[in-house]
Amino acid sequence: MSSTIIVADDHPITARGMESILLTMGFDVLGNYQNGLHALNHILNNIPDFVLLDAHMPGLCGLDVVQELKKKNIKTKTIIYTMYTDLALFEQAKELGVDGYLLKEFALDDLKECLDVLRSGNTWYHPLLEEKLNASKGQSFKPDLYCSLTSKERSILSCIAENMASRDIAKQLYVSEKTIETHRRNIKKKLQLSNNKNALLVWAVKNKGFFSLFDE
Amino acid sequence: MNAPKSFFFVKSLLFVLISTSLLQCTQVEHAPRLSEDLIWLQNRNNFKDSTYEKVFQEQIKLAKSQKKWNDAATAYFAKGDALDYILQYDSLFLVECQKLYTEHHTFLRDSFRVQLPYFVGSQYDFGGQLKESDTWLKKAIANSKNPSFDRYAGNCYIILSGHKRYNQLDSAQIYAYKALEVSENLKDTVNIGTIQYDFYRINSALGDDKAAINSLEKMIHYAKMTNDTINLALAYLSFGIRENKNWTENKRHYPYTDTLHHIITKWSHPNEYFQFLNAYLQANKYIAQKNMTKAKEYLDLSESIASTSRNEDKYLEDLQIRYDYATKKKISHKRYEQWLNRSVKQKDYSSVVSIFNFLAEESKTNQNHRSAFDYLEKKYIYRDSLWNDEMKGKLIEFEKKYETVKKGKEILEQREALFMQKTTIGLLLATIALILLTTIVLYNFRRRNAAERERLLQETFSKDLLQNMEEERSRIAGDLHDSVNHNLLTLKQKIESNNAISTNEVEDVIQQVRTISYNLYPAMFEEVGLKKSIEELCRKVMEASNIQIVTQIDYSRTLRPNQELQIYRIVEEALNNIIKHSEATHAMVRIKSDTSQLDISIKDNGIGINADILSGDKITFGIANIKQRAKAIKGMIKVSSSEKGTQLQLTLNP
Repeated sequence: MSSTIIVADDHPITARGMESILLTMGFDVLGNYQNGLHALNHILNNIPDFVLLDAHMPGLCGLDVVQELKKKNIKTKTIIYTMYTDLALFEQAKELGVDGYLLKEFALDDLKECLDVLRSGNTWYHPLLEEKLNASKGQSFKPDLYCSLTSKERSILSCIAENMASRDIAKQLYVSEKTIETHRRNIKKKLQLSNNKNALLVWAVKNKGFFSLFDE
Repeated sequence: MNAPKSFFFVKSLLFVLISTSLLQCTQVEHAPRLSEDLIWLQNRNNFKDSTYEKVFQEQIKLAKSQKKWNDAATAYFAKGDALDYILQYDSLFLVECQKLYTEHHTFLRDSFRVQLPYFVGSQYDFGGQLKESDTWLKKAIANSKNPSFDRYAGNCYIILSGHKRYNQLDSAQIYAYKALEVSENLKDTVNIGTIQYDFYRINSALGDDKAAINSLEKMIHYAKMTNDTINLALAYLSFGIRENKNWTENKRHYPYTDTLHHIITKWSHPNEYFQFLNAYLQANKYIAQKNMTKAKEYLDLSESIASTSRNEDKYLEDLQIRYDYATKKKISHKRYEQWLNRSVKQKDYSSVVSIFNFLAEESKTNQNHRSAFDYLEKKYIYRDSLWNDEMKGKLIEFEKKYETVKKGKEILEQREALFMQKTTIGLLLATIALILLTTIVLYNFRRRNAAERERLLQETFSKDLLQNMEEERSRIAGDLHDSVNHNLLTLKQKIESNNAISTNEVEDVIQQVRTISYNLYPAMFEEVGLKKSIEELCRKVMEASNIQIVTQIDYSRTLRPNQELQIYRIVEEALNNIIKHSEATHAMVRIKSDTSQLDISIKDNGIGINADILSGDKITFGIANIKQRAKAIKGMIKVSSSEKGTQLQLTLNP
């Protein structure tokens, strides 16, 4: 039995193109909609296996449809396909629990793979975006974490950023070296850094420019 | 009025004394050489000569024809002096002397300019025209170069003092003191005695018996010192009459009365008035001593020299009654009533008191206590009237003075109070006005300033906005033309020449369009929301610059999309400023929100911004743009900056 699918795209040509591709791939295309709201109604009535949603549409946008379906626990797999490469959109879609995320320019190549992965119960996102998002997430300075540090820890961190040894820091702050070491461990923990020996030093040197912005 | 008349007479007596001293003065006066006739005229003793008037008239005629006004004045002076000496009133002299002075006083010597007015005043005094007298006497004083050392000024003071004694006791006293000053300056002991008599009269009028007696005693002292018989007699006489009037058995004045009698009997040409009063006092004394023979003798004597013109009948009447009473132990009530009625009519309360005193005495002797009491009662009433009469002048005067002073003071106080009030009110008003004015001016100034700034801001902003729009358009046009169009043309050519087109080439164009599009409007802004849009914005800024930006955004969609867009644009503009001007290496965008407030903060570690821009004195498009956008969403913008960086805070109360 062939899988059922609904296409929602406000550009008729793109939508028709997509429909014919899907047909050639053996899908049972239940409908083709240019309006998000119409598409949602149809999905709720027919519960197709898949829905291919343009991000930008009149009525409801793709993300809104995803949100509605997830809220209603509809088992239909959702795929956003868009020309935007913005991480914000991607991130948003991911947070809403979208199952697949295609970029239009790569859609021809990625569509089959995406649908296959989804059919197997997994999610498929365009690797470029995934990569970018991870890179952005890997942005090492996290304000919330930094703000959880005490002022003492912050001053020690500043010293570390200046490449000072624990011994020198201890001298400057009139505490024992051991105390500094304890602080170092705590800071590392709070900043969720790896256990790598130089992790704190590297992090501190890299991000010291941010310190002053968060020290009120 | 009885009083002024009697005064006039007493005053006349004074002039006997005054004039005595005048004689010496005239002789001292060094005048230009005078004709023998004028010298002859100056001798007082020649006045009684039958030819005096003829010589006088001739001299006047001569002087006038030669226009020798000072010679005429000398003649008038001589006659005036003589008239003064014998206390004679000469209306013709008065008119002529006055005329000479009035017409020719500018040609007269200084001494005449004092003396002639004095004689005129003196003559008016003799004639009883006190007002005119005062005017001329004051004129004389005014003409005197040094009144304190001028004998004639002194004489003027004495007469003026006499005039004032009846209605202005304090003026009288002042004039008396001035006269005393002149006399003392000139060592004129004769006049000092006379002035003491003046003081006696004043003090009597004031009711100050002690001072009055003191003045009399001084008068006696000076009279004895200068062998001044007249003053001595006058003093003793005053004592006698004073004590006698009181109708008492007080005998302390008897020595004075005896001394007076002694003086009078030894006097070669005694004054008739003195003689009369002496007889009167002697008669009274003998009545008191019950020596009726002697009493009758003096009663007759006094009757024989009494002159009705000098108001002596009053004394005579009193004496007769006393005599009658002493001899018959009975009084003629008819006579008393006559006397009483006349005295009451004349307001001669001193006599009335005497009469009642006498009547009471009589009733007491006759064991008629009832009527004695009545008489005494009446006596006291009249004594009060007497007091009142004597005090009236003084009282009225003091009252007037007091009233004047009080009124003056009140007016002054009122004025002062009014002034104070006015000043206070004025000051208050002025202050209020000033404050008001200042406030208004300041307010207006500020408002105008603010309006001006606002206008300028608006103007600059509009201008910049248009400029910016144009730049934006030209940039977009440039982008489209240079990159998109160029690439599309390349692609077209390739298609036309059947060359293969690579996906990358198409992808480039897509990317270019995407960037342009994104710059115009953030992709899927409404769908994605503020938080992710800002994060995306920061990522893009980081890609395009060397600035590291972190975001810390705690925001769940509470604002309307258009508000969110404004915030997005503000952040975008702030980041643009940071890229362009701050030279920062790191920046952060933070949004904190709770139920009531949204705080957006954009901070960098750059070099800070110019104080002019900070204070708003210098307007830059970036800041103006931010402010305009903040205003549109009713947000508060606060920019703070230091050399360690800049912070822009936007506060919203959605």
